[in-house]
Amino acid sequence: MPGSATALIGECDTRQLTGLARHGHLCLRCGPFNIRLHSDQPDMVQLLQRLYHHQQQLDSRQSLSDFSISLQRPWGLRRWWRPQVMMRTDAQTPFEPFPLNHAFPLFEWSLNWLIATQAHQFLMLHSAVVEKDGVALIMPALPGSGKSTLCAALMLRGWRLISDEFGLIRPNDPELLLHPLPRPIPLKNTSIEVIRSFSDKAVLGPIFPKTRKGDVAHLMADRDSQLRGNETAVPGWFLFPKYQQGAELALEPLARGWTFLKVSGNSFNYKLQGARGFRAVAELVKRCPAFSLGYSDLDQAIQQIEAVHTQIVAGRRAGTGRQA
Amino acid sequence: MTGAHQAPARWVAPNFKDLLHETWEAETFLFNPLSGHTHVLNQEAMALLETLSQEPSSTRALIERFAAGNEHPQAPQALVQQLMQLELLGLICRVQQQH
Repeated sequence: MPGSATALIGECDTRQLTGLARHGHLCLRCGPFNIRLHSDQPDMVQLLQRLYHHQQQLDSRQSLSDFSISLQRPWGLRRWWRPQVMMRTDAQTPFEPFPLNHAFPLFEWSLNWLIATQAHQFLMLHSAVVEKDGVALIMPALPGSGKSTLCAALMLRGWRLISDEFGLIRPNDPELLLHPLPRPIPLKNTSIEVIRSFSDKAVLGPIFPKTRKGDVAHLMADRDSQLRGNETAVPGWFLFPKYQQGAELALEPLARGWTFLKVSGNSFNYKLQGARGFRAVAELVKRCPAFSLGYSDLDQAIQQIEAVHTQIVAGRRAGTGRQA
Repeated sequence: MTGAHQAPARWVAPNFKDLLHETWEAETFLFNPLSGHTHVLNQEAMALLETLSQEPSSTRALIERFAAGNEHPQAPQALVQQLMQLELLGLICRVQQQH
């Protein structure tokens, strides 16, 4: 929704942001969404300011919000004893409370849930998406694929992060452009150290131990990705990565039928989109070649991805269509 | 009093024109907007569906057309099962023809 931009959130005065959040007036612009936050937790606001540094902060009194998230300590015993934080949205409390010091993961999880259940103006692929030379690489999320780690590594090697979680496409858009949502990438367990040692450019938040997904730390989307949050990307190709310890690098082309099933099956709202969803996914599969990539070494995987991407981009420019 | 009797049912694909489909390799991916379901059909099932979209046919006529040349003794039975599966999916239905 449109809103009046005021400043980058990282350049705002922290006390002012904390005050806005306390009164439910902190509004964050990220990609196509305005997100309103109501929270009495200054630590949470500080971390938000750090990890969403280059996103716009809007005045919620002058902006319409797509999603409203309230993170407050509950009244009663759990306000003080093993304190908790509860998420409320539109007078609903869809989740069990989290420990108070896990307010930021709860914010991220809540935002994922709100987008996945409400943003049906988009066909939402459950995918990491990165872009280079104007062409997007879509990595659908299969369990245990290591897509977040690979997505993070690609961003740290200069690719633009479109999203770690959502491939957002307006289903009636003939170009099927991908809309950015450059939010922090949640790294889990061993991936945290893998990425920390992979690049000294990695800006990581604190480790939140023992969440429902294990230890989690959030990698900030880089400056370029955040500042280009309104710049769409042309879909280029699909990659289904599969991390396996000790595995040799193995790139294999995939059949279109298999790709269609996996992409539609991994979408958050393919079925809800009806005929529009079928047409959009079918068109994506026609335009974009698909590969699987088995890997154990991030550098090797990235080298291989760069080589395929170069061919895809060259093919696009030469107008040779789908095949790399 | 006409004494009209019912002939054996014939099969028809009444909504074929509303279905969206894409064929890749040997499979057709078919979306039914009435049910919201996406189905994957093999070549034989798709050929049946296309035939029944053009005109109703009896099971016997379909067996003669699709299974008669097949040397496998179970071919007619397999075709009948395929018809029943397509019916269960709501892609074809039976119509009675009055004589």
